[in-house]
Amino acid sequence: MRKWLAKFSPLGWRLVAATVAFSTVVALLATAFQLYIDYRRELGEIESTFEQVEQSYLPTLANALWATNRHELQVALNGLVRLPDVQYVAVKDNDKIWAEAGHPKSQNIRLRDYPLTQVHRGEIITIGGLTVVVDLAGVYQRLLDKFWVILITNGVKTFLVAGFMLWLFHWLVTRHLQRIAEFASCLSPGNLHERLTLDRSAHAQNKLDEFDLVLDGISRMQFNLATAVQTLEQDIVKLEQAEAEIQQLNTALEQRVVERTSQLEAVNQELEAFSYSVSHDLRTPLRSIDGFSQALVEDYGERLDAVGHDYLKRVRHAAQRMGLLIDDLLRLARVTRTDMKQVHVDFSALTQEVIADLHKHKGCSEAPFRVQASLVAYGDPALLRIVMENLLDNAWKYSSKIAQPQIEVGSVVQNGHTVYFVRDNGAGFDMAYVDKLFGAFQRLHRDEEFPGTGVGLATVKRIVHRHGGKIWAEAQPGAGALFSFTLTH
Amino acid sequence: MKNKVILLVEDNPDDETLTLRALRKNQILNEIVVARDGAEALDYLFGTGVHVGRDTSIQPQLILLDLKLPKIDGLEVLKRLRADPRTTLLPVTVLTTSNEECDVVTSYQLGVNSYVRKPVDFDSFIEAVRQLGLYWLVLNTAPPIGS
Repeated sequence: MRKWLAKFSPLGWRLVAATVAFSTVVALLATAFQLYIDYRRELGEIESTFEQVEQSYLPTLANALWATNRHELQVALNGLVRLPDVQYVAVKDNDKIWAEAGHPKSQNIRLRDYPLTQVHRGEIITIGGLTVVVDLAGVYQRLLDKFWVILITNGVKTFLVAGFMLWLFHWLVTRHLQRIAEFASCLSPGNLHERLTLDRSAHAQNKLDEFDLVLDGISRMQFNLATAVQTLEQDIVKLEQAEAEIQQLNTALEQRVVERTSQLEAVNQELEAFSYSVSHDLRTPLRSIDGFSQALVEDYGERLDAVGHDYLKRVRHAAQRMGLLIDDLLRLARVTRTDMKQVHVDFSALTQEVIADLHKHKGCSEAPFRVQASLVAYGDPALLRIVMENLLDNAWKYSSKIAQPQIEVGSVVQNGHTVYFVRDNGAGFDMAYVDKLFGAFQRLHRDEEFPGTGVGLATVKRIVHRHGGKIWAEAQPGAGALFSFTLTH
Repeated sequence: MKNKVILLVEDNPDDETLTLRALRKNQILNEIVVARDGAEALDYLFGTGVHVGRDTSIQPQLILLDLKLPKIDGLEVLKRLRADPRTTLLPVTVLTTSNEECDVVTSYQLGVNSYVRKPVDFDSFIEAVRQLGLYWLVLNTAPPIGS
């Protein structure tokens, strides 16, 4: 039973509950109205009983009382008390009861007193009274009976209708809804083309109703979904193809990176070997040239005239210059190759050390250096030392021919960057050639004026660039030069 | 007291001549034995090959070792003579053309006693040889080798 009931949907139960509640309220109202009508009718009947008493019995009773005929009074009252619902009747003269019938009652009653009159000598005189008591208990009992009958009838009817509605709702709606729900929950991208059919009579199938709209809607939805799924599948295929292509490209790219890296490594190794070879093999013949020239001067000097000596001097000078060039070149190459270790550097102290070394090497007159105190820098100390060695050596060299040389090292802040500078008041140069200044082997002065290899500033530029900074120069011929550089972007 | 031998390991005849000249110029009168490659240097030190039968209890007072040598290079010579108890204490000075950092570091790791780069300027070279001779042959106390 429980199982059987459970197959009806909650929706069906809700519908039945609402119907029963509403139908019960309506039945109660209708019953109340009907009972009220019946009550009024019963009261009307009682009223007509009273009228019957007034018209039929009052003259008889008045005559019998006038005649003081008790027996006749009693007979009449016995007839009166048999009228429907009449509970008690009595004939009284003032407080004296002449005759009575039935049993007096004080609750649920209707009481009516009638005067009993007689015409005596042309005068109407009251000789007593009739009291009629009608019992309402019968009326109430009948109304109660009727109420029960109506209630039970309505209850049974409502129950039957509700049961029928429940079954009907299940048959017409719920089972189809359940089928639709089942169908919808089984739908997947794989079986979108399956058709939904409902188990309905041929008659119902011929007439279009809301279920046909639902079926039509589901069918359209299936079609749209199938289209969307197809599009998605195509997109996925495209995506997979694109991904495969990317994968392929990545593999090719990695391959190329590996190839380039090994090429670079090979080139680097060659460069390393080249540089090693240069540092060994290119210098060896120079030593022979210089050494044997010197030997020639020492052992055979007396056989040479002044021109011969001069030539040998030139040979030695050239060999030594070549040696310097090779050393500078190797230093330039090394500056690019070595690993950088950037730390905070006391730049003033580093500059003072370089100046001290310069004094030691040149061993000559004291060039007036002025170094700003508390200069700091962030960079590789060894490389920064090379920068300052070159810049200060240049400053010293190019101001060596003037009477009061002044060389200044300091820093200023420009656009948020610290700019370090080395200023001298020496020979300077023509700004027209400033582009050549930092190129390797580029010189703006003849070797007889100021000796040099033209590698120093190229080395400085490389170091500054490796630190992410830049270097520039300003000068005027005869009015000194100003070299400025930064160490970060 | 007979002056002890200096072993000069040098493949370049020019450099050999110039080094000998520099030594003579500085009045260094020790006997100079020249080995022209690494193998010959080892033969001399260990009494093998062309030097078979040499009394290896007598070892040079100083070895002047070039690094770039045919057959066996200078670093290998250094490694082998440091590995042999007969020669492990010998003073060795690398006298070579380059001062590439890797050469300097490896030489010291292998136990060289000093490292001198030959300058191009012959005057400077003579000065360098003078200081070398003064230090290793006069100032320095040699290790006790042989009898």
